[in-house]
Amino acid sequence: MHELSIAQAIVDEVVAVAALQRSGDVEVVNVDVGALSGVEPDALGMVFPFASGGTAIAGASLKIRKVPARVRCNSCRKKVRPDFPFLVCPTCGSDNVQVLSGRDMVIRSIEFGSNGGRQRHSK
Amino acid sequence: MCKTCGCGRPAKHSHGMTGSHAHDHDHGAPGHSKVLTLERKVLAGNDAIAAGNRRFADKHGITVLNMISAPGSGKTLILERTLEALKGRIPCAVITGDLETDRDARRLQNRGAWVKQIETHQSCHLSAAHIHDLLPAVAKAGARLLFIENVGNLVCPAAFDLGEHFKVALLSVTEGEDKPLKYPTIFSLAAVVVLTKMDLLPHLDFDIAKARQYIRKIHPGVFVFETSARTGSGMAAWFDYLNQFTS
Repeated sequence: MHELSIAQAIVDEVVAVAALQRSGDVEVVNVDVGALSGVEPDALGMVFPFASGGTAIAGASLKIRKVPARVRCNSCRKKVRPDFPFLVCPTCGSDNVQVLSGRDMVIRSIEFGSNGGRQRHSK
Repeated sequence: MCKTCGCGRPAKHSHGMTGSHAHDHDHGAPGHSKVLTLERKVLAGNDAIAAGNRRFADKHGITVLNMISAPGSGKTLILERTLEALKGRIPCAVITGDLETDRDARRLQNRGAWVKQIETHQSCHLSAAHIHDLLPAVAKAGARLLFIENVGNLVCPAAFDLGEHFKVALLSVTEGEDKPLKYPTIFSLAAVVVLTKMDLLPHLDFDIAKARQYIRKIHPGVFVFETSARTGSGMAAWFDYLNQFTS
């Protein structure tokens, strides 16, 4: 499944970063999912536990922030939100637009819990 | 300071996240929870390998095309004809991906090109690491054009940069003219769109004008080839397009 590959990529990145931190267990992973990224946020949330299970961040929860598509219209010069998936300016109808945001998936931050408490699998 | 994430900065607490429960930062003694800002793209690992692939290809004068379509759109046949047409003129290489078997690689053999099959088994797309491992052999074979025939899939391959210079989206006339609306990501990212199996038009209700209109809505200005690998119709334009990368 597509979102599983993405979830595994998130897990790999976070496990690598967390290993360098020694800040306790990862409790939350905050991710931005762009509207043009081709990833379905609900599906990603559903498969994340399967990807993280058995790793150093097993049990961490994934918090997804949806990022809408924003474009700059080169015709009317406005920064607008197009009506996905049509990359046209909703103000003037021009298709001469430049995508400003919404293409990416980004791991924004990781939240660590205090030590002790929950059981974790070690790597 | 950690050079991966700059953790020498002061920790900050953010409360503006989505989620069904309030996040309480006070977990009791000892100590507070810490928030580490990362701002790292999810596919950063794949993208880094892809960037390395692209640099390697540039260094060796190889133009790389990532051919993406639904399964059964005619990627392999169009590649068969392409390799035949370019044989002796432009040294070509093909990396072809499927879940199982080397059937596509075997179809592409004996046409003067270096050909290699990748069986992904579980993965529904090729990734940059797959290509990275084969690039030295592609360069050693003296290829100037590398065709990557991705796993048949209109969804996932769009997200995974392989280090190509261009994505090519293929769409067969049997798939319906509204495919670009339903699978917009790949059509918006492709450098060109290739309509395939045009010889079947008399048997279908496929509306070419509508197909072009829908493609234009998703990707204004993208060039659309109309081809039949079977009859050869429209293939000369495709070969001319490829020629320009090596001239």
